[in-house]
Amino acid sequence: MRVLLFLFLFTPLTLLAQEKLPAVVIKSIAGKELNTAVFQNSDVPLVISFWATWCKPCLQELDAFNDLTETWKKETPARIIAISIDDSRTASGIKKTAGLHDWSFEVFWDENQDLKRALNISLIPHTLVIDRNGVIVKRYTAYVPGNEEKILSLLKTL
Amino acid sequence: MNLAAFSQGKGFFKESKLNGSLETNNQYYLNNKRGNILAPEKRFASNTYLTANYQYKGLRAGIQFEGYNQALQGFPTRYEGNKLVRRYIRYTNKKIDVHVGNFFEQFGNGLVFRAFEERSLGLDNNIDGLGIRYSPFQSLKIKAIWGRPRTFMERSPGEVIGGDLEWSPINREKDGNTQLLQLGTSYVKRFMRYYGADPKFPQQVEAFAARFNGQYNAFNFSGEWVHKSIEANFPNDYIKKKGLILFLKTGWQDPTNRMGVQLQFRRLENADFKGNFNSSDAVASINYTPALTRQHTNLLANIYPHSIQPIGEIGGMADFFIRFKKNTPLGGKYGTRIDINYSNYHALDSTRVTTGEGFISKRIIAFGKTKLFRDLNLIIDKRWTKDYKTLLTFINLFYNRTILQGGPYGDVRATLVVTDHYIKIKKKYQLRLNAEHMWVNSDERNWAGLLTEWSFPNGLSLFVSDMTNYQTYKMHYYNVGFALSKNKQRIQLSAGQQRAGLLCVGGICRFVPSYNGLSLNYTLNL
Repeated sequence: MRVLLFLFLFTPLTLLAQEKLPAVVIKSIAGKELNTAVFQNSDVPLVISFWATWCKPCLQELDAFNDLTETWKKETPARIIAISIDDSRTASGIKKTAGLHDWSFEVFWDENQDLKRALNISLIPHTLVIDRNGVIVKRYTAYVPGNEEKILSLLKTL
Repeated sequence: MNLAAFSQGKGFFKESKLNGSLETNNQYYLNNKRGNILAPEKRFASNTYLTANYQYKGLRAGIQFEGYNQALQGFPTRYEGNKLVRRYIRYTNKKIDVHVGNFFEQFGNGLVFRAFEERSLGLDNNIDGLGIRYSPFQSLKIKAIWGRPRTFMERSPGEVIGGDLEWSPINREKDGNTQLLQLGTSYVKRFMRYYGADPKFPQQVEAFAARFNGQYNAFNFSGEWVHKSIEANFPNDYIKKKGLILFLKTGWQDPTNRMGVQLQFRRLENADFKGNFNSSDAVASINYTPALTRQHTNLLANIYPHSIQPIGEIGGMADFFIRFKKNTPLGGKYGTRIDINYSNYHALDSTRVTTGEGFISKRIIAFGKTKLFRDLNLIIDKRWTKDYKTLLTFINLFYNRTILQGGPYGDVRATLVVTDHYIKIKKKYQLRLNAEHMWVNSDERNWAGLLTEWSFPNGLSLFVSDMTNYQTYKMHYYNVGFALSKNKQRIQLSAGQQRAGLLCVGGICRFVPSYNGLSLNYTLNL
């Protein structure tokens, strides 16, 4: 009952707000800190994908993005950013996985999952499409083959 | 309302951001046909998590509500009832970040302190208190924490206070070359009152850590050393022993990603740092010393995972990859990836003593005679056509069941072969087929496993899997169900007899507890 009451109060309020990417400190693969505020007004649309080295659908999704890189470049100035949520158990695999898959986009590390938490992400892969004003216009939970084509179509309109 | 006030109000709404999420995992338990898996008396179990965050410029506030209508099987039963388990206010500007209430934080590699949440494993040790991050210059970061860690639905009786300092004297990036050096140090103290008869019981435990992390172009290197004062706790049988952790990592990766290598070494000695010395639960730890082994994503390899021995363990992991480019003899038309991983862990080279210390281990870099775990993985990832890809995995492992599961079980030696096939049809449909076989010398002997999954462009995914120990108990651990993902929502319904482990179906990966019956999962991002 309490849950329903909360949802009832909560949902109309969310409609008022345009969700933006929160400003949270993440790291480069090497360990250099970076505030995500730099992505908020990047003048180009962004695709931000949360992944982990042990998540097979995440790797499939990022490989699909990578395969489309040349097409994307011709059709949209959008920037792809992959953010790993691996913790210290599997973190040594981030650089290796990005190299093994030869990804052409930038890879960052949300070491203690601060950004994932700030965005209320429960499951990965989780992909955000962000417009030129930094507003999150679409979220995709889970990877469905063909999502990359839908995202490309959406990016062309932003 | 005058115009100025209205416009201020409009600005307020424009700057205000509110978001949240709902996750609910429900199970209904059944007895299995053979009667060897019995459902609990209360057939229905449910874990629900509801979060909400509000942000106005640099100010953030949030809550997390959790409800356990009997926690799912596999979760500690102390997760019970409904409660607001997290509420916080946070203020952030360019130099300072202040957290009041419940917060998460990590110092260095987490070996001395890590407050984090991993819902699927039932872990949340957030600190209720005060957390500060301060950066007077870009090259200097200071962190301070004070408060009580969460233990299940309550606060730990132990109090934690600590600080961390990180300095980056070298931080250069030019033309794709990176030169980075970071030096850090941490101090954490835990105090918990002791009411027993031992006048020398250590109520206060202090840990000190020093670390480095760096990169010189294609080379990377890092390390951390942790010294902990005498800690006696329930999992170490209350021996009064100092703690020591040594962690070293180095690697090299070709700038064109043709090949790379990573090496890690870690030594643990009385390494578990408890927020509550009377608890054996993982959630009561305030540091994080995970198993440094490959995280398996197959059905069968999860049967024998390494379980770290914080009381004493030494070993490491090596990773190597090589990528054969497209249009080369070994790469073929689409390229070939070869991934090799090896890990090996032993007990410490130690001698038992009758003093309260329990044992001594004089040589820092010395492997004990007792082998704990060894794991060799070879993965060949090959795309054959635009629409067909395979992953071939070979695993050979040694598992000291006597120590890792606690009992007179003996050793397990296993060899596993996995083939994974991904077939795309008309770009948008996908069929995945996963076939596995594991040869085991003891325990439940050989296993076979099969998983198939169909994915449709409307977000629907259907899956069915089975794994069986066909030489001994002939049990079938099967799972059949569907998942539907639509933008911010996802629902999954499945039925079966499930073993605990990491399950990757329906477009996501998640840790699942063991159960027999029905399972319904729903997530929503608001």
